[in-house]
Amino acid sequence: MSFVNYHTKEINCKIVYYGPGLGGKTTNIQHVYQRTTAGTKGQMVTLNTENERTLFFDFLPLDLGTIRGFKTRFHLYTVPGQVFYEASRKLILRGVDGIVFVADSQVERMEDNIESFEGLKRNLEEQGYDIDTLPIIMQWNKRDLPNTIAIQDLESKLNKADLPSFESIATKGEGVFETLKMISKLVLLNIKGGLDK
Amino acid sequence: MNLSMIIKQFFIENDFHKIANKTAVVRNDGIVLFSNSDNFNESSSIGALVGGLWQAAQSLNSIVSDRSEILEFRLSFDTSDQGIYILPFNINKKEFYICAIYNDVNNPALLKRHLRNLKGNLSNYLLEYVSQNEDIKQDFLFNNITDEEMDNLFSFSRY
Repeated sequence: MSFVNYHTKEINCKIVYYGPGLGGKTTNIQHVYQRTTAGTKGQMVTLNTENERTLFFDFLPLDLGTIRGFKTRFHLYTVPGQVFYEASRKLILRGVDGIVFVADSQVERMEDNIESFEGLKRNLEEQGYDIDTLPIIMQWNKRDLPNTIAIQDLESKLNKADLPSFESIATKGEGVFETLKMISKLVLLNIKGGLDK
Repeated sequence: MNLSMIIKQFFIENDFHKIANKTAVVRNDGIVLFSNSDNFNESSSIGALVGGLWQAAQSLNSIVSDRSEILEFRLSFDTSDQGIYILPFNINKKEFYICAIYNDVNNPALLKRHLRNLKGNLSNYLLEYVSQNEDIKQDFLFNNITDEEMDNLFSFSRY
């Protein structure tokens, strides 16, 4: 749940990158980290396994600019994608304001995508979220690989709710900021609070 | 005044912000409500890690016990002179953590006792405030945001 400090005019929001293992969640926020000027970003926290897979989460605080007088701060998290880290994924979703679902476009990963998305819906419902109102963006990653599934198929199998979607090649940074910008906008528009008169 | 300002006022008035090298009050989703660090990025990392640490410990404990809800836990990671001490408290059924990260302390037991007292005082202080000011705003903060405003917000990036 976002936090609005009216006195200091600050907004804090939590965005979680969710999706199957090796889909490109960490690559997304690594790209954001690399392409962000020093004063805007904090230290990227990564809790990894020995072979550099996400063990618990990656975390990147971003101190964005000001919108209508409010300083905006986004906290980007990734979840561990591997199936057996379900408990960790549930924890990281607590207090989430927006989700980027990073799907792996390769044909052979379709079942993993579906399983992960079903898990996301289940975990959100368990925590009392209304998935019809929570901002969620679909990102079709790895579009540069030769064995990708057609966008129409990804949309029909994973995006029945017609959520906003972006194609991406996170390793090259393509689509990364476009996705982040869109989820940030949806999250900001979804903040309850009303302006103090 | 909101919760963050009230907590800050409480700490400053009572000089509690000096209790440890780093002292913070964190929401259970990792959002920092108070930190004695001037560095926003450092505070954010503390918030994310404290939230994650507590929740992971809670999940681990639930493997052997289902009484977590009714017991009062504390989390300690320490040597004889440095470490981390985290205590939870609840305000209106919402969980918060107060955390001390300390180094080169002669009497960590005393520091921990101070933190426990502080937690009690702070939660009483906040309960009084929250019960008087339960004004939950239901309107949206922004009714619309233009693409230009979003471009400005993301002007920091070099993509």
